[in-house]
Amino acid sequence: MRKLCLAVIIPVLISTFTGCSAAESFSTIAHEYLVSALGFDQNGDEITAFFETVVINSEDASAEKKNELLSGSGYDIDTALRHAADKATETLELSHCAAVVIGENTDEKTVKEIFDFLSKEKSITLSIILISTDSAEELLSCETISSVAVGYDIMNMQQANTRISGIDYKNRFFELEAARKKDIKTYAIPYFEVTAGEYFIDGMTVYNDDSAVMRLDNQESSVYAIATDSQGKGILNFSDRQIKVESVKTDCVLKGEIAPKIVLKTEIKSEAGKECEHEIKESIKNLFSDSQELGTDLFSIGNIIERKKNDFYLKIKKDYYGFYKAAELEVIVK
Amino acid sequence: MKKNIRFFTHTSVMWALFILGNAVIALPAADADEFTFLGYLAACGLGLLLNLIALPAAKRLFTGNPGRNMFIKVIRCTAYIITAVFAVFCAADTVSAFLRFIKDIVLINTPMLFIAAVFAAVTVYFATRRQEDVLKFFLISFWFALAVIIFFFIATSFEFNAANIIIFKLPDTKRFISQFMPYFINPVLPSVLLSVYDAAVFGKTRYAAAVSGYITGCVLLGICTVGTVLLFGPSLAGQLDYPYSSAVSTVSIGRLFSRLDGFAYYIYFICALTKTIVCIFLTRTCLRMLGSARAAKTAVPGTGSL
Amino acid sequence: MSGQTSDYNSIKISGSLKNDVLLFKEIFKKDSVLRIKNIKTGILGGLDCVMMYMDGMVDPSRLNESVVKPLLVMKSPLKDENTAEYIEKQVLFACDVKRNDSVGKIIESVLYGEALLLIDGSTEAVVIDAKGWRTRGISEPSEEKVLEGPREGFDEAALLNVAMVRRKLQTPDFCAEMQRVGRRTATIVFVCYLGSLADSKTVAEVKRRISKIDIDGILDSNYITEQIRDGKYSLFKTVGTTERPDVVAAKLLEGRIAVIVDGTPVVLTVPYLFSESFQSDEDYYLNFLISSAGRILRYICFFLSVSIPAVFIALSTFHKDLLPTSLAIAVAQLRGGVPFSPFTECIIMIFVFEILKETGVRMPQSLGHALSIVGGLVVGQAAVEARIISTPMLIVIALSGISGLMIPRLRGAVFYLRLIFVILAALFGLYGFFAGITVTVMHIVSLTSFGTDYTVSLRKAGFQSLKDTFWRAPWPLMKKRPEFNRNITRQSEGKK
Repeated sequence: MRKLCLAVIIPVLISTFTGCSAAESFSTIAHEYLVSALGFDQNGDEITAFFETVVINSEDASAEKKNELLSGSGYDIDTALRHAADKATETLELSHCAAVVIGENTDEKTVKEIFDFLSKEKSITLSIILISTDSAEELLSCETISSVAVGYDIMNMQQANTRISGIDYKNRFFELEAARKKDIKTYAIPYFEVTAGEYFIDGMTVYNDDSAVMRLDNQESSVYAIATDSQGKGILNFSDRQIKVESVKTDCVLKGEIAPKIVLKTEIKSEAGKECEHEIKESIKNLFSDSQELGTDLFSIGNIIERKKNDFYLKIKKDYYGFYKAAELEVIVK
Repeated sequence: MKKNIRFFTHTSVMWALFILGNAVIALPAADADEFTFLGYLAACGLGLLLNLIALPAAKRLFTGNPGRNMFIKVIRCTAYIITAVFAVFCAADTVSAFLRFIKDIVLINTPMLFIAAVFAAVTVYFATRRQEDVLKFFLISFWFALAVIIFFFIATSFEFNAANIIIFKLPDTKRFISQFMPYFINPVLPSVLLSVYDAAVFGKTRYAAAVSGYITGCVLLGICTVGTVLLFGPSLAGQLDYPYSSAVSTVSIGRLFSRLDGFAYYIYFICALTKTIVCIFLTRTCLRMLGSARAAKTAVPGTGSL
Repeated sequence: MSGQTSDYNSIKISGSLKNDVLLFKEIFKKDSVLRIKNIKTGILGGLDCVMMYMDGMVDPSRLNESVVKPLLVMKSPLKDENTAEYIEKQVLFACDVKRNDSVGKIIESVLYGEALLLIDGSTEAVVIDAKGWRTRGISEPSEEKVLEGPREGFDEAALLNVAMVRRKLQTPDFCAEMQRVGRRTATIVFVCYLGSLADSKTVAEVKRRISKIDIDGILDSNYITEQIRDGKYSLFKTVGTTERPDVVAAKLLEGRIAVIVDGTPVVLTVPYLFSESFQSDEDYYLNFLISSAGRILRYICFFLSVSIPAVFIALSTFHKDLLPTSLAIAVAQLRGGVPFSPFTECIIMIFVFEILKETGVRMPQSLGHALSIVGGLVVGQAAVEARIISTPMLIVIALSGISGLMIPRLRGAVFYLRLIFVILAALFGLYGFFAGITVTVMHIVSLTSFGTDYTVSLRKAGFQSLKDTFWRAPWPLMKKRPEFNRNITRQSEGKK
C-alpha cells in the first residue's frame, strides 16, 4: 500500500518540480505597475479609460517614485482598457486599485459596462470606491497631496470626510452592486471638484439607472444621508455654524389606501436640538420635489413600498414614476 | 466506559467540518433571494431528520453479521455500492470545487495539473494515516476554523445591512423549493454519508456526537452564509463565485490588517480535505466490506488523484 | 578473536597462578597500562597472589589500604575453607568484593576500574571495586541554564549520574537496571524508572530495543537514540534528552523511563511528547503565569520561525493582492534593483544565517567580536547597500532565525521545515504553504514514542488534557499525571 502511494506521489512530485520552472516567469511586486485608480471619460461615443499607476523604479531605487497616467480609447470599456494597458511596459497589478473615477459625461451604457467590468475582473477588490467628477483625466492628473497616488488620496479624503461629517457614502463597489441587484435604480456617489489643480469632495452625484441625473451639494448630501439611512449622519450649515446631525431612526410608510401619501419619518439627534427640525424638513421636501421633476426615486421609496405594501406596489408598478411624480410627501422630523 | 466516550468530540468536529466541506466555498447558490436563509434552515432541519433515520439504518446495514439470509446480503451489498459511489461522487465534487477555486483565485497562472497534484499528494498522505490520527487532526483544524469564522463574522458585522435578510411575507412553494434545493443537495444530502461512516468505519453509532456535530456544522455554515447575505445582499452574494472569500476580503482593521483572504483560503483547504478524506475512507471501507481487497487498495490513490 | 570480552567468557581461571598470569598478560600484551603486583600473603609459608589493575582507572591508595595491607597480615584459612571465599569475606577491607571464574567477566570488571586478585591454587579470582578515575565534576549544563532552580548537571560517569537521580528519588521504588551495549566498548547503560509508575510494557520495550543494538561502540547516548527511536527519519525527536538530574527525576515521577549511558552526560527519557519540546527546564520552578507566557511565546515563535519566510515569498511572488497597499509599495521599493528572486534571496540568507550561527558555536571566543562585525556589517549593511539582498528579506530571515532560537529542542526541525515551506511557497504560493503545514501537522499527530501518541493530549479534547501543554496550570490543579499515565493521582488535597 505504502509503495503504491509512493509510486503515485513521486512521479507527480517530479513532474511538479520540473513543470514549475514557469514560476521563474512570474513577476514579483518590484517589477510591476501598481494601479491606484481607474478613470473613465466619454466624448460622444468614444470612451477613454485611464490607469493611474505607481511606478517603482527597479533599476534606480534612489529615483523618486513616478506616477503615470496611461490612457486608451475605444468604443467600449474593454477596448479602451486594453489600449491603455498596451502602453504599460510592465504588468499592471489591479489588486491595489483604490478608486474608480467616473466622469460625468459617461452615459448609462458606459456606466453599466464599468460595473460589468468590475464584476468580471476578479483581481479588483470588491471594496473599491466609485466617485464622480467632471473629468476623470483632470482629476487623476493632479498632484498628489499626502500619498503616492491620487487614487489613494481620494480614498483617504473620503475616509477623512466620513470621520468629520459622519456621512457614510456607501459607494464601495459591493454596496452599489448589491443595491443594483435588488433593483434599486437610484444611488449616489461622492463628487470630487477640481479647482486649480486641487481636488476635494463637494457633494454627491445621484445616478438613476446608471445615468447621472442630479448633483447634491454638501448640505443636501447630509440631508440625503439622514433621510435614507436609519443611522445616517451628516453635517449641516445652520445659523452660520456647522452642526452634526444623526438620524436615530428613519422609516417610510404609506398612509391611506385610496390616495396614499408617502410619509417619511425620521427621528434625529443633533447639537442644535429642535431648532434644525424645520431646516431638515424643508431640505428633504426640496430634494423630493427636485427628484420628482427629474423622475428619480431619490429615497428608494419604491423598494420600501414593494417590501411593505407589495399588493399596492404591484398595482402601481407599471407606471411607478407616474405615481411618484404625483405623490405627496409628508415629512415628520422629531 | 472510558473507551466508549473516547473521540466523541473528534467525531463531532468531523461532522462539523464535513458539513462545511465544499459548501462554504460556493454558497449561497446562484439564484439566491431574500428567502435563502429560510431555505437553508428548512434544509438543515430536514437533514437532521434524515440523519436521525440514517443512523440506526446504517448501524443495521453496516455492522454485525449479515447471516445466511440472501435478501439481507443483497440489500447490504447494494447499500455498500451506493454508498461507495455516492462517496466517490461527493469527493470528486468537493475536489473539483476546491481546485477550481485555487485555479481561479489563488494560483491563476499555475497549470491545473500541478494544483491537483499537490492536493492529491496531501490526500493520499492522509489516506495512509490511522483513523485516530486523522481525527486528532480534525480536532485541531476545527478550533482554527471556528476561531476564524467567528472572528470574520464579527469583523464584517459592522457592514451588515439587516434589510438584506428581513422578509415581509412567506414565499410561495416554487420559490421556497428553489431556495431550499441548493442547500439540500449540498451539504445536507452528503451529510448522510457520515451516519454511514461511523457505523462502517468505527462499527458503532454515536447519536450525541452526530447530532452535536451536525448542528455545529450547520451553525457555522449558516454563519458564513448569512454573513455573506447580510453583507452583499442575497442577489450579489449568489452571483459571486466565492462569496465567503469575497466577504472576508472586505474586512479591514486599521491600515495594516486588511486583505485577510488567506485565512479563508485555509478554511476552504481543510474543509475540502476533511470531506474528501472522509469520503475516501468510506469508499475504502465499503469496498472492503464488499470483499474486494484489491479494489480497496486502488480506491485510495485513485479517488485521491481525482 | 573479535576483540570482544565475550570471546573469553568460556575460558575459566585454571587455578595455576603462573598460567593465569600468563593468560592475562597475553590478553593485554599490547596494553602498557596494565599493572601487575605480586603479593605474598602473611601466613606462614606464604600464599602467592597477583593483583592486576589498569593504571589510571583505580585509586591506588584505596587498593593499598583495602587489599595489599590486609593480605600481608592475613592469617591462613582453615584446611577445608575455600581460599578465595575466605579472602573475600574475612580479609579484604572493601565493600564491593566478588568472586568470579569467567575470564570474560573478569576482563569486563578490570576494564571498568576494578582490581583483580589471582590466588595460587584457587579456581576463582577475587574482583575488588576500587574505581578512582577522574570525572569532570558536577557543573551546570551549558545548554540548559536556568534562572531559578537546581544547577546540577550530569557528568560522564553513569554510576555517579544514577546516584544523582537516586538522591532526588529516595524511594525503594526506584529501579536502575544495567545493560552493556557495544561489542568493543561494552558501554554500561542503566534503564531507570519508578516501578509503580512506569508502564511495564514500555520498560520491557525499552530494554528489548537496547539489547537488540548490535554496534561496535556506544560513545554517546545519541548512538542509542537513533537505534531505538520511533519515527527514525522524522524531523521531530521522539526520545527526550537532558543533562539535568532534576529534569530526569521529574520525568520519572510522571511515569517515564530514563536511559543513562556511561561516557556521556546526556540522559535519554521516553516516552517523549511533542509538547515537551516547548517546555523549559524552569517552567515548574517559576510562577505558573510566567511559565505559561513563556510557553505560549515558544509556540508562537516556532510557528513564526518556520512560516515567516514562506509567507513572505508567497505574498510577494504570487499573492500581491494580499499585501496591504502601503506595505506592498514599501516592499516593492525596497526590493527594487535586487537581481535575485525572493526565493533565491531567501535561500541565500537562510544559509548565511545558519553559517553565522554554527560559526558562533564552534569558533574560539576571542574571535567572537570579529565575527559580530563581519556578520552585522558585511551581511547586514553592505549586502543591502549593494542590492544583493533586500531589507525586507533580511528582516524576515532575522526574525525567523531569532524566533527559532527560542526552541532549542526543535533546532533541526525548524531548519528543515523552514526550507521545505520556502520551497513549497516558491512553487505554489500560499497553497503550497498550507499543504506543507497540513502535512506537517498530520505527521506530528501520527508520530508515536514507545507506544504513546506524540500528541497524546489530543486524545481527549478538554481542559484537563491541555493543562501542561500550551500553558502550565498551577500546581494545585495538576492533580493527575500526564495523559499517558493518568491512572495514578499525583497529589491530593494535602495532609490534615
